[in-house]
Amino acid sequence: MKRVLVACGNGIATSTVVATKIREACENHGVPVTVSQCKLLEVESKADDFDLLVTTGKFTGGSVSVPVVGAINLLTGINEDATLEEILGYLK
Amino acid sequence: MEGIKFDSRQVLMLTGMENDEQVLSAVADAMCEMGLVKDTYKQAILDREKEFPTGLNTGGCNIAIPHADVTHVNEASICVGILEEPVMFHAMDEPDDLIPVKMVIMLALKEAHSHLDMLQKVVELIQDQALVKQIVETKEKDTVCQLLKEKLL
Repeated sequence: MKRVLVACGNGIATSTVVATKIREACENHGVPVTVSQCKLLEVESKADDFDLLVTTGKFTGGSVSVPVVGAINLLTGINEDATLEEILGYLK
Repeated sequence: MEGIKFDSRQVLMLTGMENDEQVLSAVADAMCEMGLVKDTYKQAILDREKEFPTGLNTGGCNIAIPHADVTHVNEASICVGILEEPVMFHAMDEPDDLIPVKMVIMLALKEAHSHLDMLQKVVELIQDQALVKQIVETKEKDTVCQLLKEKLL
């Protein structure tokens, strides 16, 4: 099962919405996944345990070895489906 | 929004605001006066906005969704500020970019990773640009409050 880390500034608000949208999209596509949340500041120390990093804010907290997808579109609704497809592409 | 406090006192029609800091201070002060948040909330909001800005570029009427750590909150609630003139906020996804914002939805969250219902409804509102346009163009506070309640509660 692939593991996704969703990060935002405080790790409590926008990441909650994005994590839920990822879980729902994966469920709809039959993709097993575990989704965790954290603060952007915690990403560098945690990301290695995950297969994909998704952020709402801009990730500038160092370098990570996992792919990173910006998910602001899941908040604004602009090109939301394309962003979900991109995320699913890493998890299938 | 079960368990989330929102009434007409939590809608502010803001005029003469010159920058994002003034807007954030006005909304946070109102929440503090109502006892919804602690004295430390405002500074936490201001600090957080500098480090992780909350302006959302919606392609239409831009919105900011400032929020702070749960430790600064007394009661789960939101407070909405409608800006008569747009005020520049930094964008969440590109902090160096400034975007004109017309509506601020300040979130006071009591528990981390919770309040999903409220957060989802706020995001639905942000994405309902026809409604957002209607809200920000309404000069009547009562109408604004009614429209927000219909969408959020």
